[in-house]
Amino acid sequence: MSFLTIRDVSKSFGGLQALRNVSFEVEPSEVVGLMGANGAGKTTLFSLIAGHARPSAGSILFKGRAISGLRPDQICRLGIARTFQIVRPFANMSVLDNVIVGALYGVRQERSRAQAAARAMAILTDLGLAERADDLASSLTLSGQKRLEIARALATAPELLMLDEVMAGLTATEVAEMLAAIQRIKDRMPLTILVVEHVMQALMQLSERVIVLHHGEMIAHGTPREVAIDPRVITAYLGQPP
Amino acid sequence: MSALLSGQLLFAALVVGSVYVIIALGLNLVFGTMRLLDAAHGDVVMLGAYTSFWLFTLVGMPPLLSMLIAGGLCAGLGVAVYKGLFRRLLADTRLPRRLEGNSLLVFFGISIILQNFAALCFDTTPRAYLYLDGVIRVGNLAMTENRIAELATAVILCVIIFLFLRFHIYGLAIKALIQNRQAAAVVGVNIERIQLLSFAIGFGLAGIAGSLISMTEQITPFMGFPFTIAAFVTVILGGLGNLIRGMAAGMFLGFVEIYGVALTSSSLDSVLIYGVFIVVLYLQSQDFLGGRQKS
Amino acid sequence: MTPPIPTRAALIFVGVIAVAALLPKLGNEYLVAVALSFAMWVALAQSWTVLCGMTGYGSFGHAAFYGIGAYVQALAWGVVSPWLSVPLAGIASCLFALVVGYPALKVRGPYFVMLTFGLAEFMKYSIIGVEARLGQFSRLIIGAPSPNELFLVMLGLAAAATLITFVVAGSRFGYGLRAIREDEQAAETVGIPVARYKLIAFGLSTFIPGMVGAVMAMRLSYFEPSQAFDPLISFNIVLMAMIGGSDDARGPLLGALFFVGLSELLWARAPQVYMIVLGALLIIFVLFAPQGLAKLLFGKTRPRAS
Repeated sequence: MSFLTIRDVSKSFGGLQALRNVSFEVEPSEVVGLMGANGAGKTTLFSLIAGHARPSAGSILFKGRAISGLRPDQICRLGIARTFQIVRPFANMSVLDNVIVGALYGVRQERSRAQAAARAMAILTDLGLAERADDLASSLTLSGQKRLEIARALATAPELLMLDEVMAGLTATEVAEMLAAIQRIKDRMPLTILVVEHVMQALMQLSERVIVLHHGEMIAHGTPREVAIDPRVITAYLGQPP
Repeated sequence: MSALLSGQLLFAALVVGSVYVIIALGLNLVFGTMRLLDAAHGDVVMLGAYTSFWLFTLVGMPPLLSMLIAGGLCAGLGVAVYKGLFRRLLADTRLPRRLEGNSLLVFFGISIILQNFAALCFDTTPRAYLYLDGVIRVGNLAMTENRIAELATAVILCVIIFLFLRFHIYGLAIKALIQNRQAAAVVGVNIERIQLLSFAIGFGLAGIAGSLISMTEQITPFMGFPFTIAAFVTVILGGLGNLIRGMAAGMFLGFVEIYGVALTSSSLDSVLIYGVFIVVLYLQSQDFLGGRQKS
Repeated sequence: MTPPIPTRAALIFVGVIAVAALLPKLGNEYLVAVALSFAMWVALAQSWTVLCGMTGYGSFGHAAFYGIGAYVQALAWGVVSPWLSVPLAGIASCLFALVVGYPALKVRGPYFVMLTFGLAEFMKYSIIGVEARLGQFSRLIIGAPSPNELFLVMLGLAAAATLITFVVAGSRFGYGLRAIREDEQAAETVGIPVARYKLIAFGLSTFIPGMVGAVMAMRLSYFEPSQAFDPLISFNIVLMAMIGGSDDARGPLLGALFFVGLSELLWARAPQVYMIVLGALLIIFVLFAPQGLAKLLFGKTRPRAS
């Protein structure tokens, strides 16, 4: 029984078919990348897994349990956390409070603020935000806010972390910093990661396996190397057969 | 008997509905172009009503003439409110959704000020005057001349506004602003000026509606509120910024009110209006009226 | 998770209440009346803050819950003792809130504000209609407890409301509510049961206002729907929250103090000027100090980890 199973999942919004018969599996501790042009359905898939919407068809299983139809907060407590493509921090709360919320309401459901705060500080240190702990979340740079979202997601003690375009809008240096931070996180705790990325280099570096979506359908999957030379992928991206 | 009733009621519904349409049109301009929740709109109507009342009582000016003055004064008020208060709010806000909430509160404050200012100046005795109170009979239908004038003026006003929005460059700019603010700016619409114009026209229409209403209704400083509610119901039912649907919605509300009261009793008038109000607001959030709210 | 109680504040709190409880002994009726009024607004504003300040769902219709409480009391007078009818009024209010809140809380932002306002007016006119059908235009309460006794009850309600707000603001629940205010969808993603929390906050914020309504019905010795459901009550609560601040228990205290002071100065002498001032204050605070006096005076101080 694999960790996360996406089985024949389709999703349409009115007349628009965002996903069509997508199936794949993710094993524990894997890092799987999700690739595809804009509109390919990547964020839709995340929304379905996280519980913001229900699939029109197919099923999603997490640790053997069907999760489509559960509310987002229930899915979080089962161990799935996500970041958002456009950052959504709790703007008027402090950086530390942002992460504390995650600790209080995530899987562990901490009851003691002191303990939650301690864990939050540890996570913030890992992500290089410890000095900004008491600042307002809205005062961080984009890179900082993205790391804050990851910290908040980590505070919920997830087993599956979904990163939605965390590199978007970052400079080359910031991308490198982000990659290093994610590596640190991976080393520290057993985490399965599902990454959506446009920044190809980062995606290839992070992922052990890559799945390619195109117009809502899965057109290729394999190791980064295999996918990079797959003719269908090249056609989809460059528009002409090799 | 029922034939008479339905003809009479039909006429009443048309009159009430047409006034709602004008008021809602004004609200839609402010709401649609700037997403500002004008909770003081009904009170501007009240000011228009008082203007016509005093001009009639003191100098004998007929309301069909003084409505132009009422419209002008209220338009001026709109300009003052825009320049004094909302320019800052529109430019300043970090989060657009806070703008809607803040605007509601600010307009509510304005509403309180207008009501009590009127009460201070004119005291709270209800006022009324008689004008064009002859009755025209068509078959079984009895129509007072002032109501006919009300209906006719409202219709003419609607046509003028419609043509303006369709053919005049500023009208088109307003429609553009309602549809897509950023795109409008990109194609060179002077946002600042169009916003000012929307405020002026919006408030002006409310003032004119007040003049029309003053011919047939009693005037008190606190009369504005039900009109504000009716205007919001109309705008939400018709869809934000959708002017044609807004006209239909205004008429619909007029019909609901007149026929609803006739079927039940006049004391249920307010219950009906507020009942429709809360149902409409709820439905709107649930996507029924094409307005799925983003969080 | 209960917040750490700063000892100094706790002592001041208990001290103020103890002193206030002795007020009736002074024999000054006017003073007791003002103090009762102040206690009432504190109770209302603190309760409002639990829902509205903290989640951002600003209710503009809290008069409805006050009115329901008053109505229950008016109906129950002579049938059951006030010791029973006052809590009953609170429960009735709360139940109404839970029933209505379930659909109402799906409406966001300023539309929720308008919805609650409409709901309160709807209740008002409905009850006016019902009472008219029953042939009653107002109901008398004869032989109500004395103002001094009622003052002590109201003081208790104010203290309770303040405590509730204080506990909620510093608790785990409070964190959840604030996260909902910041970003509802993101809050759900980190495990907060948003719909449930909103409903709980809503119910919590209406329980005491129901009891306040019941006490005031006895204080006024009568119940009249357009008075009990007066939208001005809702407006005043919102104004106090805007002026004082509504993020924790200090704001409503400041707001109520300011409001009662202003009201004593102006209301009797020049009611219209008073209202104009209130309207202007609302505008000024929304534009220039949206987080209220609490933020201006105290800045941001919430308990810290270390």
